[in-house]
Amino acid sequence: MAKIAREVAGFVALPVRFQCPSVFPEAVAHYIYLRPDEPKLPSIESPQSLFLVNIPITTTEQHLRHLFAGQLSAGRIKRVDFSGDTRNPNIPGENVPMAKNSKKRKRATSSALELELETATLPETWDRSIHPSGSHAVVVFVDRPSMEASLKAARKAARLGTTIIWGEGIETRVPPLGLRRYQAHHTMRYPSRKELLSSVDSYMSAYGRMEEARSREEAKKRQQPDEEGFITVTKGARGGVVRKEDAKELGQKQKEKEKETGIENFYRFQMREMRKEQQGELMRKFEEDKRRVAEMRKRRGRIVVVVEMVALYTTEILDLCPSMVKGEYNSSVAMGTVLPGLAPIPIGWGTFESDKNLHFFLQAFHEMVQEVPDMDQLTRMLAEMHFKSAEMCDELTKNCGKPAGTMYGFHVTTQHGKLARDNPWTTTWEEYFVRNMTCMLDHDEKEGGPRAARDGGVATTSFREGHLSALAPYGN
Amino acid sequence: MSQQRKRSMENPKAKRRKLSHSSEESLRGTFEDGDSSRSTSDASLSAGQTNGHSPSEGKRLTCSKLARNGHVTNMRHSSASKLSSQQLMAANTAGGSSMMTLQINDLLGEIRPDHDKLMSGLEETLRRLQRIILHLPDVAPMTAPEAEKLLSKEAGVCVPFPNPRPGRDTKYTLEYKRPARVDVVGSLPLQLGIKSKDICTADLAITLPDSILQEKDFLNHRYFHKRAYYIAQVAAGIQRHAKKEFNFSFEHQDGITLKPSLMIEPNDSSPPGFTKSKLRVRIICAISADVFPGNKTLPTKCCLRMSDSTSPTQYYNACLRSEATTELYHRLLERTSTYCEAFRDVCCLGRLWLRQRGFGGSVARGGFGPFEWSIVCALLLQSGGSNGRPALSPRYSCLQLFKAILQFLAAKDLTDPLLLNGATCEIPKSDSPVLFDGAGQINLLFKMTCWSYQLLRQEARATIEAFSSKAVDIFESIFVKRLDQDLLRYDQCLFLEARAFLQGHHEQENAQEGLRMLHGVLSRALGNRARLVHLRYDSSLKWSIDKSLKQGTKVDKRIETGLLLDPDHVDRLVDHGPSAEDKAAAAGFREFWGDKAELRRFKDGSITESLVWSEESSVTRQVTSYILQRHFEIPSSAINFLGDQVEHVVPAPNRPLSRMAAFKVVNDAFQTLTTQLRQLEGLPLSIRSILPASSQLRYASDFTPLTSTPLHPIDIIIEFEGSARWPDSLPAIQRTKIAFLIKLGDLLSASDSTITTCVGLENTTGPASSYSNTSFLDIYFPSPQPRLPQPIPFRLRIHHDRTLTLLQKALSSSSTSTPNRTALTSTLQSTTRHYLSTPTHTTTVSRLCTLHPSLPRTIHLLKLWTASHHLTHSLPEEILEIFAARPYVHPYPYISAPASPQTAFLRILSFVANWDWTAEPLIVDLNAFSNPHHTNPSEIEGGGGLTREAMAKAQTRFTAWRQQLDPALNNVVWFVATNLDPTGVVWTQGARPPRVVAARFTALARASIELVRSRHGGLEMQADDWRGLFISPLMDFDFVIHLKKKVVGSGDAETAVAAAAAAAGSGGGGGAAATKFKNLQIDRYSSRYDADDVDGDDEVMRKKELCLDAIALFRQDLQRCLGDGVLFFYGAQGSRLVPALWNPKVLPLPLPATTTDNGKRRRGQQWRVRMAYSTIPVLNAATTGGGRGGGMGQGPEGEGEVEVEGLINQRGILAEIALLGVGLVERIEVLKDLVR
Repeated sequence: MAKIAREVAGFVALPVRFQCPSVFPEAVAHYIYLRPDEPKLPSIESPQSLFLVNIPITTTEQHLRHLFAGQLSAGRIKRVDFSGDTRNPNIPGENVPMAKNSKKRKRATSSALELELETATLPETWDRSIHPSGSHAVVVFVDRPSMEASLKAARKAARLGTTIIWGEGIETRVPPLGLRRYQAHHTMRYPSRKELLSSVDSYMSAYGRMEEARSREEAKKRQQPDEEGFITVTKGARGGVVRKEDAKELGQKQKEKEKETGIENFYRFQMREMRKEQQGELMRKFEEDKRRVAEMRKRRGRIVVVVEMVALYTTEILDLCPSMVKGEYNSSVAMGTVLPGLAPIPIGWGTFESDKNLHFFLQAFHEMVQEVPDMDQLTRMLAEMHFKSAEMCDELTKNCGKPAGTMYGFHVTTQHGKLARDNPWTTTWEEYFVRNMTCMLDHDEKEGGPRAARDGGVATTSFREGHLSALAPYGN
Repeated sequence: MSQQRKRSMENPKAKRRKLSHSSEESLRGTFEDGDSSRSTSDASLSAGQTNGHSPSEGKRLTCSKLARNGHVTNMRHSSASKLSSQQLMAANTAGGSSMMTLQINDLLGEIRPDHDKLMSGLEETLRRLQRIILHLPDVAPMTAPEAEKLLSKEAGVCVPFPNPRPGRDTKYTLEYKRPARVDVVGSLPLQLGIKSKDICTADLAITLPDSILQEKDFLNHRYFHKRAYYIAQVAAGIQRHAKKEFNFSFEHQDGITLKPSLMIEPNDSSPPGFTKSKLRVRIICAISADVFPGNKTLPTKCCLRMSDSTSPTQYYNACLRSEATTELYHRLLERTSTYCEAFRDVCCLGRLWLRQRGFGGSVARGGFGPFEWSIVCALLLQSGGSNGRPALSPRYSCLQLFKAILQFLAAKDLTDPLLLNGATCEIPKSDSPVLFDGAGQINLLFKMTCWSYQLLRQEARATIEAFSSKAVDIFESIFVKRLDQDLLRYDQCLFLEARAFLQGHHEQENAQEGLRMLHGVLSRALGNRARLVHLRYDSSLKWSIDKSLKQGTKVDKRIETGLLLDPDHVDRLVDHGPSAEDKAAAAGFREFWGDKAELRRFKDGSITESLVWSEESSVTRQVTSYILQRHFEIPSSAINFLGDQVEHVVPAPNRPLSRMAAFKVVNDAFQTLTTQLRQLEGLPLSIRSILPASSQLRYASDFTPLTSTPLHPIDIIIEFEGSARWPDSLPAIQRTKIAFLIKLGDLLSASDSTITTCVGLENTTGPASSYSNTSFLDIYFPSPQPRLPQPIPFRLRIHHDRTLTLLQKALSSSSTSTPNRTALTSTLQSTTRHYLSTPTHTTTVSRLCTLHPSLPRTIHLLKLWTASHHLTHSLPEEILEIFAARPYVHPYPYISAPASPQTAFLRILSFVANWDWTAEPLIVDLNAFSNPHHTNPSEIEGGGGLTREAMAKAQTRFTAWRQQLDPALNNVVWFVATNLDPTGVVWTQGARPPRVVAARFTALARASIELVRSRHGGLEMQADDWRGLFISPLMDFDFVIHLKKKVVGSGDAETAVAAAAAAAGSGGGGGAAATKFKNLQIDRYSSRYDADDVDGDDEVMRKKELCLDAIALFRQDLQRCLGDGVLFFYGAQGSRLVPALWNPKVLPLPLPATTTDNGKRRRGQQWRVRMAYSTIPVLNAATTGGGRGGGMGQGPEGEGEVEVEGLINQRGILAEIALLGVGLVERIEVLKDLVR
């Protein structure tokens, strides 16, 4: 059993014991926390009040009176304000008598009458109220010494562990709980006809007076110019009180009427817009459906796990591997910088520590489609990439040892499969192009054997010389 | 769309296919064109090998699979670029909605098996089997007995001759020669299969060489005898070579007893791929198409000429033809799948749809399987339309094809034979379906019976209707949900012991004939009581190859009968037969009914043959047991009735008034009262409407009105004509209402002295008390029946329509404080609920109850079930009623609305078990008129109260709740929209039920359904199992408050729980036993409370006292005062238990084991001033040693180390409950350890 704190955050933890032998035989401790009341807006009575937290749900004023005056034999209580009790709103003391006085005056103000209305309640239906667990209350003592004595006594009781049995000795003075309380309630909720009628009458007459007073006041306001000589416009001038929401409704109706008579589907642009709207609607619905299907699938837990795909270059082209992955990585980075979204986002490349022959290159996973992309779009994007890359040339190649100025090339060797493309920097694109082509042709020769002079060899040489000039006019 | 489809359809690789599996039933095979059998088989195998992709291709395959997974992927890309409106339109309209198309594409990706993987496992085995078979030596011809004897002696294989076995005097000889071909066949080569949990079968078809068959072999089972011998030889041959590797057995192919097939199953020493594959190989026989001329085996011909009978032998002929059409149909399917893109998909869908509904190709499962489905589709793609044109176009999308096939099945009545492909023969109409294909000269539906055909048509019709309906979740219902649970599917099931029935029809061959007779008798006897009589007799057998069929099988089997009943006729007690004057018909009637038929004269003067049934037990039961006894001499002990067991478990309580009678009394009294109120003179305003607002006025209360204690006032709502004289402030309106009620009460009791009235108050405490309704008028209506001593209490409240506006105004005004706002919100909700929603709900449910006679009982069952699990208190009863109505208004996926409460109850549980309320709204159209037999579809469309737009809106609202308003499910847990409540939250807002209760409800439903499923789909549920559904273990709770028996009163739940508990032998926890004697019960009214302070003479007082529900008040107090820390449960009225759980949020968390030496200590919350529960200030164990200072507690934050926990004071709270419930609570039982 853990140790019980006797004080916590300035509160004295006062143990009281519950006894209900017939149902729950154990005697059980309950802790009421108390400290001097320190409200944010202190009133006259604050210094002579205690603030109680975690009062038992069955607490009544009687109980607390008995607790402090009888069981702790300390202070006498003037009043108890329970939290959440609307019947005893914690109104500062002065206001109460004023309200009473104003009732006697013949021409009461409407606000005072309203206050009176609030106090005109229906007959009680419970003889004893129950508080939510853990609620608090403010106990107002007759004077400050009573309060202090009570606090002291409580602290002492907490220290000594005095057994205080909750409600012991006042069983007869408070209304019973349980079945009898419910029976009583059942009786009280049917007040006698007379009682009910008088309560209703008094309320309704007060209400009538209030309405009257209010309209009088408003009428007065209407007539009196304010200090600047303006007359305030108030509601309910002539023709009775117009309800705001009724007016709104009327307005709405009017609008709808206007809409009905308006010309729609007349101009071509209207039709066009409508079609557009419909199409948009279809599109939206389609997207929505797609989303829902995806969601459903996710819920069923059958989604394909998509993370990153690992592409391993290995086996027969071992020696080329590092160059391949490096080239792929760098070109992907460059492409990503120039035109984000064109190529998958590169993540990294490297060599496995466990197997030096195994290299990897990671890209963000993309679901592939087995279809040819829109050619028009693809070529346009490729063109854009090349144009842009020329523009961004300097920015792209900041740290790769490129001579200044617009140059053609790339700082890393890239691979087309086995075919390595050395990318030296050249000043004209023609030069670069020819170099590349030559490189390719050479490779072809190497792999496929020497070409027949007719189609291969001649072409290569002629390409190397002739085409360069042939291309030039289109260059810039 | 179609272009995208094409690309995504298939990886070109996948088109080359040879080896395949058939997931359930085999189709006929793949015959490759080839010169010799050997080259064919080798070619096929080598092709199979190439199909096993090399690893490098794996990646591409994945890609193509992903793409195939749906057009989702494609859509995404194309829509990103440019999706023309036409395409969108196509997507949206093609299948009614793009949603469906998307879902189907998604589904197809899911269900398609990995063909390559399947094949790679089988490849080796198949190749081996093929090699063995092709190398078997020929066996010289010999007579049947010789052959049989020799085979049995040499190889130990018993020839599976079908009956009748070849006699000793058979002239023809049996021989074995090398087969013409051996092919791997089945649905897998065509890639039409789907994933399945069951063991799949791969077919190996052996084509018999023509030379061993003779011209006349189609007659008198001769071919089948030769076939049996042939397959036995093959079995013997394989066994000789590979005895250890496989297990062998014979099985009837598709349940056709004429056609035994050889099953080869893997065992431990099989090739590993085979063992792992969950596949088995079936060896079947085929013959070339032209061995027997097609015109000899037309359905009109007689091919069994043993006796003198020349009646056509349709079934036999078709069995024979089916052997010869194997190749033809395989080619057809293959060709179709190349020219129709969606064909393969629609076959998968069809297969799934059939499987979910329990259909299969075998005779026992209805004779309509995936093969039939794909053949029907393929045939309709080439003919079947008007003027012989194709009925379907190959350009249809998958969904369109699917619907078209269903439409064909539903609309076309095939009992009127349909001839396709230029068939010209005349086939007489019968009750079995005929779809005759001229190319194959065969009736494709020869395995179907008339009942399985009826069922298939009804299922197809129901699905077609579902497509056109507006329900949201039809996709799930059509494809995902499994529907072959008989107890949920049929209104009533009965089992016959097959032995008892088949005594006269002992032989297997005659079983079908016997079933046909049984079906005829049952259908006739039940008449229009049943809409469908479905029989199922699974006669499929598997026997060891060294035994004969008779030796191999000694199994007790049963015939399962499912009935779909017509609720309008099922309980009719008197059947009218033909008039006595119609002698022939009367004689027939007498002949059929025997002694039961009586000649009676009726009120209208007619004298007819008639039958009179007793009211005591269900009429269908009486009819069936009588007629079975009469015609088949089946004793009723051999019949097991299922369909109303739950009724016996939860008996109607023994009360002076039956439930329905009590409801009638209440409703009548309400009508009378309404009239009386309207006739009152002198009211300041005239009455606009008087509305019922109580479950007692809609046949739905969980207790029986009037006969259970305490009495429940019956809520009604009165509305007056509008007037400008009402005050414009809520408190003033409440006062005006009181004045009205007093006036009304005075007038009413003045007009009728037997009526007593009194005005009561409610909602007078609490923060928003001046805004709620504060008054009601109790009207004690005199009991119309002398048997009922107590009056009928009505509770009348006034509805003033301005109230809601004022409430909204108050809510929107900026001056309202936050606590007031919360109170106002809940007041607004409850006011709307009580004054607007309850009356419409009451009217609607009451209408549904008259429409569906079994609905009141269903509601009762559901409520009892809820009550027996202590959940009634937390679940709005209206929601339960909506749940209960759901299977009636939206019967799909089942064929029709349930006619028996038990079926409905199980369907509800099954729905609840599968409802994922976190992610799905429930949308119910209570106006949907659901009975397809009473209306045509157009009425369904017009009569529904929910439009598609409304559904879409509800869906949007739901999304809003889940994503923005209340993602944590603290306020709205269930979203239940109806046509009455498009907002979806009227009943459930304000955590009704709270999340934990909703979860428990679902879990319990799931457990219940699981129990039913585990008992062979409920077919073997014992009475104890049924009771088990209604027993809630208390172990799950933390503590239980036992209430005193004297004060709880009585309700129906009490008896249900008591019955359940008594039967289960657990004496504790049960409620009071039902009072048996009426006088004792009356006693209970008077002695329920100590009467010392109640003036016994005061009549009104006594009446009021009857309505005192102290337990309800007690529970309200508990909820209000302790609801933050404790979750209280309660069953229905009459329950003596209030189980409860500590809110886990207030319990200390267990410390991680490493940080504490004392394992029991748990970490609580730090002490705060405002903790919404009673606490014990505990010094933190970790700091008690160090922080022991005098000034502790002065500022815990400042001192850092010292920390005081606010540990929940559980004992204190229990003691407070005890104090609060003095006189009500007997004891509090703590079930789980309290925190120390």
